[in-house]
Amino acid sequence: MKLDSKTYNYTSKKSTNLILVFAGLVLLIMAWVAGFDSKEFYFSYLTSFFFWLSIILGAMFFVFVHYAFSATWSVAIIRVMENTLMLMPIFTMLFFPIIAGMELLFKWLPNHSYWLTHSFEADHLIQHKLPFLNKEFFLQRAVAYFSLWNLIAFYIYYTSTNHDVTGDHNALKKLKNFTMSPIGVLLFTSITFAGLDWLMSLDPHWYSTMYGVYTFAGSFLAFLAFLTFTLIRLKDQGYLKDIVSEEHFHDLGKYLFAFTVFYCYIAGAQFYFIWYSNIPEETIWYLHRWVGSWKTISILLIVGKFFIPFFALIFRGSKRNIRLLQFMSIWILFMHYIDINFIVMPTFHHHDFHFGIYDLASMLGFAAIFIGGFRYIMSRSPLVPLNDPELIHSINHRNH
Amino acid sequence: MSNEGYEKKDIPVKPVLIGGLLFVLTVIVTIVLLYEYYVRVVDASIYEFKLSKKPKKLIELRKSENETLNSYKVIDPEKEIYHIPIDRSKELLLDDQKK
Repeated sequence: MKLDSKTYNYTSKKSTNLILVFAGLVLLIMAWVAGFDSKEFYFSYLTSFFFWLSIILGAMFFVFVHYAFSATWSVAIIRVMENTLMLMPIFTMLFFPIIAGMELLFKWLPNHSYWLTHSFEADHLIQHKLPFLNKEFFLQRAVAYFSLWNLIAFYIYYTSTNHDVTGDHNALKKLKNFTMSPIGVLLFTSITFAGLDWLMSLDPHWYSTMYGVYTFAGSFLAFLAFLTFTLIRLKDQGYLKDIVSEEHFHDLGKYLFAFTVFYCYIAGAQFYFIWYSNIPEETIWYLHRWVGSWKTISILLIVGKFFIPFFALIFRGSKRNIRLLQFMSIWILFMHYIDINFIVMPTFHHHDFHFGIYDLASMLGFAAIFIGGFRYIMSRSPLVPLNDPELIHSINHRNH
Repeated sequence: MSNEGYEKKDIPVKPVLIGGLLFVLTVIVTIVLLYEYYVRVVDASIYEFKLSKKPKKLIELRKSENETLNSYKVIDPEKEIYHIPIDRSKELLLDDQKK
C-alpha cells in the first residue's frame, strides 16, 4: 500500500511555532516578575504546569503500553504520542519557578508563613514527615523524576524516528525490551511520587493512599482527550487521510469512556474511604472543598467529569461521531483543568473558587509553549512510523 | 484446521518464579532501607527544620524596621513634622549641605 506523503508529512511554519513558544515564555516570565513574591502566582503556575505536564505523562504511559504489548491498532497514531514526549525537556526547564516559590507553596518548609501562626513543636504529624518532606530530598526526587522522564522521552523518540530512516526492525525489539524492563515500574512510581510531592504535599497533614493512581488516572484521561482532539484536527487539515479512520476514533472513544469511569471510580473510592473512616486529618481535605463556591466546583466535577462524559460516550454511535468526540475531548480537558485547580487552589483561596490574572497568564503561557512546541516537533518527522510492519494492519484495523 | 493464534506452550514457570521472587525481595529490601533511613534522619530533620526557621519575633522586628525606614507618615500636622523614608532623608540632608 502506497501512502501519499502529503498525508503524513506535517508542514507548519517553523517561525510561527517558535514565535508561539517565545510568546508563551515571555508571558510566563512577565507573570513571574510581576508575582515574584506573590503566593497567588506560584499556585496558579503550579496548577497550569501540572495540567500540561500531566498530558505528557499520560502520553508516556500510553507509549509504554503500546510497545510493551506490541499493540497493532495504535501503530497509526503512535507517532503523535511520541511527539508529545519531546516536550519534556522544555517542561523540565519550566519547573524552576516552582523551586523558586517553594517557600510560598509548601507548608512543610520552615519559613512558610504557616509557621507564624502555628506551633511546630505541637505538630507531630509534620515532624514525622520531615525525613521525606524536606527541601534537599524534594529537589533530589524532582531531579530523579525529570532525568527518568527525559531519558524515556529521548530514547523512545529517537529510536522510533531512526526506524523510519533505517528500517531496521531491531529498533522495535529494542523498544519492546525497553518498555518491558523495570523502567516501566520506575515510570509508574515516579508519576505517583510526583503527584505526592507537588500536589498532595500542599496539604502536608492530609494523606490518601490512592493519590498516586488518582494522579495517574487523571493524567491518562487528559492525554487521551488531547490525542483525540489532535487527531481530529489533523484529519480536518487533510493529514492522516486513509491512515486514521473512524475505527481508530471508535477505539479512542472506548478509551475515553473507560478512563472516565476508572478515574471516577478512583476519585469516588478515595472519597468513600475517607467519609467512611471519618478521621479528622483526612476529612479536612474534603471539608475545605465544601465551602463557598468550592462546593459548586465539587458538584461540577461530579457532573462534568463523570455523568456528562459517561452518558455522552456510552453509546457505540457516539464513539464513532467525530464531532461529538471532538467536543468531549475539549470538555474533558476543561474538566481536567478544573480538577487540578480543585486539588491545588483551596490551599490558597480558602473560601471561594477564583480565576485571576495569574491563572490566565499561566494557562495562556503554557498553552502557547505546548502548542508551538508540539507543532514544531510534529513537523520534524513523519506523522506515522513508516517502516513499522504493523502499520498496514493498523490502517486496516476494524472494530467488530 | 489452522493452529494460528493458538498457544502451543504453557507459560515459562522458571522466569516467572524468579521474577516474582526478585520483586518480593526488592519490596522487602526497599521497606527495610526506607525504615533505616527514616530512623536515622528523623531527629536530624527536626533539628534542621528548627535551625532553618526564622524566629517569629525576628520576622516581626524586621517587618517593623522595614516599615519605619521606608514609609511616609504624618507625625504632627500642626508642627509640620513628617516621617519620611531614610533614603529620602539622606538625599534631603545632602541637598541642604550643598546649599
